[in-house]
Amino acid sequence: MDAMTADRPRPDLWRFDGRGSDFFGVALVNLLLTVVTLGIYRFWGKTLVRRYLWSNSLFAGEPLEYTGTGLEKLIGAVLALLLFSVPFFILSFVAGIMLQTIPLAAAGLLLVLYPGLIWLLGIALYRSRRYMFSRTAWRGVRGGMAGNGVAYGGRFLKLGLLQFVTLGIATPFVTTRLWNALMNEAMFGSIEVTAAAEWRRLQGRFMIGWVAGFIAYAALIGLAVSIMPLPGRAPPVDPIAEATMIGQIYGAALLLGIVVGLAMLSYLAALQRELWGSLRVGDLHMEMDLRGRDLLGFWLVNIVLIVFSFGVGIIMMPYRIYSFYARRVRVTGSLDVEALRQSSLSAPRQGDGLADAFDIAAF
Amino acid sequence: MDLPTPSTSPPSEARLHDGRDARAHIVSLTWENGLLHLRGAEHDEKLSPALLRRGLATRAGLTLHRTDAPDWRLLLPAGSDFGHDLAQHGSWRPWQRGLAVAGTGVAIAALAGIVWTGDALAGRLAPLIPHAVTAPIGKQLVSGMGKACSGKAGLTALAGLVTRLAPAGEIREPLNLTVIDSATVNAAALPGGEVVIFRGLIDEAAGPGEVAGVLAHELGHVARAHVNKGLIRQLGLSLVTGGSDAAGLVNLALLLRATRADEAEADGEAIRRLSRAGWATAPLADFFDRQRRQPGRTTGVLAGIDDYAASHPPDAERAARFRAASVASPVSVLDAAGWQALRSVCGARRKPSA
Repeated sequence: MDAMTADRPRPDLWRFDGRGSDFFGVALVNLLLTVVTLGIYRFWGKTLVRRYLWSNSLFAGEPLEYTGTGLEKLIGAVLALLLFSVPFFILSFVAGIMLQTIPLAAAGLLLVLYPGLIWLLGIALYRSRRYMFSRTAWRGVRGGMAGNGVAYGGRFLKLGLLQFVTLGIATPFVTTRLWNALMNEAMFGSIEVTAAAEWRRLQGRFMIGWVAGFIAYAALIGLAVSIMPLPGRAPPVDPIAEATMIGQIYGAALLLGIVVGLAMLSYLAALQRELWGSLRVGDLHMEMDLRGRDLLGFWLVNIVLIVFSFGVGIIMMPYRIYSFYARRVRVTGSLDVEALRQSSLSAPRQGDGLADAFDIAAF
Repeated sequence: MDLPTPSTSPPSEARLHDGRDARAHIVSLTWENGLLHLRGAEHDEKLSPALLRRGLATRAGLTLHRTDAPDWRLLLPAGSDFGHDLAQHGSWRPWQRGLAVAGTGVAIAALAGIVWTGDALAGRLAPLIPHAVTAPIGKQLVSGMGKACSGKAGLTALAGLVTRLAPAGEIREPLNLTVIDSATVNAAALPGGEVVIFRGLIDEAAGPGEVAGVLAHELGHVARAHVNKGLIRQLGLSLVTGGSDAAGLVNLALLLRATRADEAEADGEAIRRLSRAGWATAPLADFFDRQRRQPGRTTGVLAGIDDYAASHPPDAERAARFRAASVASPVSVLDAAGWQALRSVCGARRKPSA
């Protein structure tokens, strides 16, 4: 009687109703205001972008609500600057000077500083999600994340190291483990979110891309060695020859990127299917309907859009990325709204400033 | 306090999300004695409109918020005007808006202050950086530039020029001159009193007077601690502007402004030093003019990167300044043998590049 009819499961539990033309208006005003305020407005701009995307995302016919504010994000960014960026700049400057006089101490400092930066990046990723979830509500019920990101930062560093020493072969393992670690701490109100993405299902596809990348990379190095001036050989004096050489190297690097990108398409699509397909919110299941050719078409259109608008098209990217994935997500199962109580997690009081410093949120 | 008084009566029914759980409740609404009365199966409360805020309005209707319960939402059906004269949710109070405007003003003033006084401040601090800090940085930079030339007679001739332009002890930092065996037409003052001249510049010079002019200019940079100023500026800017978008703009503007002033100052120093040595200043003007007249050299992107002309814009004004500073009966900078030695400081004399 109290509960609405929308509580019954429906074929389209999840829908995204945004329109590119509407979003363009929002994004254009944001761009202009960001330019005239020397960038300060971007915190409010990002908030408006999310508010638009969220309010057009319907779960069981009712919109999500984004409750974050621009001021929060600004305060977060200022805090991140004072607590992390400033000390980091000072320490790296000190290390730079020490490198000349007491190299051993400097090396020690750098050995702490750079892993520390990666650890911070992991924390930033976590807190960016935590902020986003805590500012997302449906029917007044908020999301959230249980931890503070410190442990996730450590895991991020450790797995990053593993990825590095395995020359990238462990990428599917690392990516799925990090996703699981992140999403298993997420909550929607009183309901726990669980993720159980499996790397074994992805490794085969990944290796195709990895081997292609390895061959292309070796070919690029071979080319670079054959045309670059070796210590014994004089560099080309003629500017045209110099330009040709640089052009060849950049062209080959671009070609390498395209080859690896194409070889990875199948893996990247399978990865998204695995990550989203392994996600549960209570009794709700997710599915991601995505093929490699969808990704290819998506990025080709993005490139055309950006190139032919002389770069202005980049303001549409948050919409394009969100819409691309949101329209391919299918939600099945049921949600017991009687049992979905308000989140007991305390919401962070500042925005995802550190994440802004690393510039990692797509929308 | 300005109590909003709704001009129209509320719709008879609305949906309530009370923020405790995800259930939606149907409540009836009535307006009684200036209070909004909500009645439903689990709800019966009277709300002052002062607590209510207007939220998102869509085709489905208007959402109301409550200032004392952040998760509470009342969804009014479309077609009612009720609530549209309430204060906007999330809008700032007058004092908050005042604070924001004042804060922005202070921030802009502070930024402007840094831009205008930062250069002077860096200039004050520059001479205070100890040589022990800057010397290793300079040494490192020089060693990374390429092979140093070791022609004894040539280096002796060059050292003679330096002694005439900057008598021992006159410049606080100990000087160290290096000729790099590279076709680049350039010279530079680096941290720690390091001065570098590229072989290309000596090849390109029509006579020793032009080399002396460039050398005098670089010594001017060292004497005025411009290099240290640059270091401070870089550190300061990265601290002040951090990772914000504005950083690039401010950084570029400040660097351009500051380096123009530094270049002019170094030119002044060069004229003073050349005149004191009794050497003509006009040859450097000739050198600038020749650099300017070689379009392929200064306009090509690839060719311009390492160019003396590119990093030191050879505008006509600068050349004119050196031409105007006439020296009465200038003496010769180097004799023919000295010039010959300098020309072959990097080994067998090369043809100047065309």
